[in-house]
Amino acid sequence: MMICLNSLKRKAISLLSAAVLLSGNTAVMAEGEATPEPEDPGNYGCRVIDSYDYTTPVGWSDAIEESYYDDSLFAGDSRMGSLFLYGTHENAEVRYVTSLNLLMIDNMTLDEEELTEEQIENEEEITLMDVLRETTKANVYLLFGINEIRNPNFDLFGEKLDEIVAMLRENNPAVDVYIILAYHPDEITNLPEPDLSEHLLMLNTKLIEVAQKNHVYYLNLDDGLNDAEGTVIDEYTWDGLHFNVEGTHAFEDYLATHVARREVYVKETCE
Amino acid sequence: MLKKLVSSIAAVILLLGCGGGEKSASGNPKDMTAEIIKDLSLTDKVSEVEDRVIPGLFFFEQDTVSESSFYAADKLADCVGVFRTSNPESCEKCVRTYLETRKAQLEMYAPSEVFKVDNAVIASTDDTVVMIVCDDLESAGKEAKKLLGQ
Repeated sequence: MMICLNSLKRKAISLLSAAVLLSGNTAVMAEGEATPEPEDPGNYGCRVIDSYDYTTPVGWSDAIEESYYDDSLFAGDSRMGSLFLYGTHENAEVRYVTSLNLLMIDNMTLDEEELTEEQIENEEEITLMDVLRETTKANVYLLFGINEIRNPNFDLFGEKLDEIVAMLRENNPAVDVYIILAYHPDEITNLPEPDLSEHLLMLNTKLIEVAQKNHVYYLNLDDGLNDAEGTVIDEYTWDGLHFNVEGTHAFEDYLATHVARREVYVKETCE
Repeated sequence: MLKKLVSSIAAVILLLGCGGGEKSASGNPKDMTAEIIKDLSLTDKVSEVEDRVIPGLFFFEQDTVSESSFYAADKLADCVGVFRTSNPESCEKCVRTYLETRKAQLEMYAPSEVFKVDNAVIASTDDTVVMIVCDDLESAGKEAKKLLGQ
């Protein structure tokens, strides 16, 4: 009886192995998991291997070409507004809400200067969530969290960001999402040091968690735009938080030289 | 003798009724915010905030707020909140902290709105906290009292 069972087990394992081999899904992943790709009957037996290390911020590379911005959306709070006001890439789409609280992204409308004359005349109320829901851009940059910096925890904030990233992915599976960590401002009203640094650490830890969980990129502006004191370079802001013209150009340079190159990290092998 | 006893009991009941101070508010938070918004003509200014994100705005102590309703404006300070709570003191503290944060933001982005936050109406009973921030603070105060039966 025992011999018979063992024999059956062996047969079952052999059949299963054969089925797996035939299906062509035996890829051994490198660092990351395979990026989900829509099934293409023409690519039967091909595997996409994403070897990007999502636990680290995007590193330096040569500046990306100008056409990249044709397909890029920069969305966030008033800090992102500096790109709208002083940015040099006119082909980029920049959307922001002053004083945005991410938990109220469905309620808070775009600032008036972002609307067309027609939209203003029609009293259209467009939220940043509307923009993110409808975007078809290939590269989406998100900068959130500074208005929530006094929060005692960032759990619900993280959940909301998680939902947004999932929505972007669902609407466009090929989208590249970049979460921008909060850079260290000179000061925040009613939040003196060391509380400010502690809250920034909590916020950025949550942002990194969301990035890692969803396999999206994150950018650490502190590694480039900070001074010796560990806060944003004084000359780059007009109030210790919001970028001025010089700061915006430095921010733009950082973004241009910190793009994850799919062609380097993502390989497709066909058998 | 009987008359005196009845009068005394009546007097005691009356005194208890006045001195008891706090009591419960009737109505659910959603109906109460709707009434405040209608009475104070805030319909065009504020919009409803999702229930599930309210704890992430106010950070109430765990299990102290059972029902809530919150409406807010995006560019202005105006907002209306009604919170059913087992601990009005703790709930009120969280509401005040929220308003302090909102004030700090408005000081930077819309300083002319700060006075509304400084004069926010916050009223409570044993089980309900009402918060109103709007232009007509006098009417807001009366509205809160009316809803809380004070």
